[in-house]
Amino acid sequence: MQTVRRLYLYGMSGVTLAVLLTGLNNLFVVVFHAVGLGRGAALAGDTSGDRDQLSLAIALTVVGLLVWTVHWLLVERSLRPENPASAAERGSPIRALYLSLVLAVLLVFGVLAGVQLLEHLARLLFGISPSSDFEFIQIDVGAALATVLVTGLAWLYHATIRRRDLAAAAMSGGGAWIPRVYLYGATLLGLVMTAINLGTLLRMASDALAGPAPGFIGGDVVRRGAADALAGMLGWGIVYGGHWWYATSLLRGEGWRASSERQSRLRVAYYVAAIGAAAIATVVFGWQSLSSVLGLMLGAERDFVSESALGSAVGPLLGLLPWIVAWFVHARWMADEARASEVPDRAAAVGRLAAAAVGLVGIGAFAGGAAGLMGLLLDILLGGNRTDAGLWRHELADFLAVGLVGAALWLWNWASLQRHWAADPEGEARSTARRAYLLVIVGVALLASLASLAVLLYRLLNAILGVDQFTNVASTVSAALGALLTAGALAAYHGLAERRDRALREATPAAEPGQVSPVPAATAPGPPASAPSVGAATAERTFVLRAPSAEALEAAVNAVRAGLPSGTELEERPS
Amino acid sequence: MSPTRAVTWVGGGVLALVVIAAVVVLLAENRTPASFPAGSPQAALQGYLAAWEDRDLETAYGYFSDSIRSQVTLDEYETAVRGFGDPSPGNEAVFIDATQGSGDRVTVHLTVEHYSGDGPGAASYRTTTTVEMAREPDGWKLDEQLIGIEQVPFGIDGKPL
Repeated sequence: MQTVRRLYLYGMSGVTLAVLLTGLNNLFVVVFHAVGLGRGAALAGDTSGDRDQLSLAIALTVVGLLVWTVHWLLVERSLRPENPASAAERGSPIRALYLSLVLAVLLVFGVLAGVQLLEHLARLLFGISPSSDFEFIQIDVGAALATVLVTGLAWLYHATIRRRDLAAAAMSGGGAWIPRVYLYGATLLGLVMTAINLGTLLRMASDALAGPAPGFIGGDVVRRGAADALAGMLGWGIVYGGHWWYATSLLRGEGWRASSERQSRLRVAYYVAAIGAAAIATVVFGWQSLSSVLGLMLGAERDFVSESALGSAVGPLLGLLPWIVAWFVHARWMADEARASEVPDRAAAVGRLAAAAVGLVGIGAFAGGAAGLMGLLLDILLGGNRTDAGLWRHELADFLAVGLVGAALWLWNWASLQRHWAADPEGEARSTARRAYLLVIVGVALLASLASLAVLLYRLLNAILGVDQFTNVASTVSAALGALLTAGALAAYHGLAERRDRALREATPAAEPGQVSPVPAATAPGPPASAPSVGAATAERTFVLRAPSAEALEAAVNAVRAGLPSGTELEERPS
Repeated sequence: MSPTRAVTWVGGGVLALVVIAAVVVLLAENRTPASFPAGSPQAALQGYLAAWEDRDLETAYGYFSDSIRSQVTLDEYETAVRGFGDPSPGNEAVFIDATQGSGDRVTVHLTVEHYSGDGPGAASYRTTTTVEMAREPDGWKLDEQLIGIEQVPFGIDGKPL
């Protein structure tokens, strides 16, 4: 019953909040335009659309405000101390989901508008003219400022509510982890966008120093790009810095929140995602740079000349710099926190997770490059015509570059996983990260094999049935055949590794109930884990917890639950 | 402050904002085009656009520079306008962002706001453009081929498009 009521109240609050904020945003836009903000002197034409928008904005604001106020008041009343279910309301996953979604949506809209404002300021700073031959949609400063104001105020209000909830009582379950998805999601988004913009800024600086390639007609595109990248770096940098500072300050605090944060798997997931994103950037920029160098060595013609030859090789490496720094810093922070963690075996587990994530990125890139190279080689061997024109030099440079960068990342991390496996085969075979890594590769490789096989058969049948008599059969099948052979080989290799692991798992079964497991889950050499693994013996004691009120009792239970180490649980039995 | 009182304050604040915004818009909004000093490039451009809005093509043609008029006759200009179609000037407003240059040549940077529909179905977007202007003995003239505010050539090799 409470769940249905909550779904209704939070659903209506969300919809009506959107109506209210849309109305307020439009209202501010009309006001700013009326006072000349974001709009020059009127030369000609009709501005009656402004009054139409004013009417609509007032209508949306008044209607949205009335309905939102009624529903939000009902929500807030259920949090009053005299309500015995107020703690349950405050810790409800539905409330947590609502607040997280509202904060996320407001943040994205607000930051995009804020970055537009910063772009406008940066362009003024760089002395860039307001219009360009290469840009037709202009920034509306009035609209951007309105969105920043409205979303900023609404975000602050909801963030204050969330902080008030957190300060009232300890939380567990969805009430604790769902908002953490927002916190680390926003941090990751901020990090990625900051690194992209910083990389772009460095590339633009390099382009400006190297000068344009002969015949380049891009106007002031480099200065515009630099101004926009500077704005993006500042805007998203604030998002990253603010959220990361908050998350880290929680970690260093005292009480249930600090303890809960230190054990959080989402924080580890954030680190792994940040390292994985840096690995993807390494593949992309490494590929671009190496491909340019190999293209020059192979004599490939440069048909897109926005950069000089040197710039096309060095520029991507400059774009990669922020990612390398982010990778190094996050790997170090993750390792430091894992070593200090009270969660058993966290250091080994996070190392394995990061290696698996980077290994997956690497093998994906390696497989793409290897499949392309194999296809090109088969084309030559089978008498195809893909190498008749000059384009093959570009293809060869691209396949070689992506394959080499991917191979380096994959082999480095696969070797790390294999070293751990050699030290503790049974323990590693039981590791979820290793199993997931192997199964993802086998699954994706099998899917790629099937798709390649389908294309191959289609092309062959077309050739047999004489659908197109003027194409070279070898060239129509060589790419699919290359992909099939590469994906098949990778599926077989990793399938065999997974089979070997499974044999190890079956040879040393998990402990039966009543026994202590000889192999801790996700383990590495070290002291035995104190937490019981699945199927292992458990121990329990019964306590009686008393408090002056039901609310205080609920808060105490939540506090105890939040402070429990991994693998330990507090069970409530009917009295 | 209790949570319910805070919500009441938020509601009251929003209503006050609505009232203030409506008053500001009604007082500050200028529904007529701005005035520019006579003999300025902006005034010349405004005169051209006013003639264009009235579809007074002869007057509009008079705002082009000698260089443009030597390339295209009034008849050819009228043919080009008919061929281009009516870009519905009532649904757009033109604003001046900046005027760059000095002496006898300036570039006027413009923002054009395009509107369509009304109420919840209304849509608007902004585009930017520039107009090159040259000073001649009888005042500032438009020194590029324009149909309305669009940069469109009047023809190719003397023949209308």
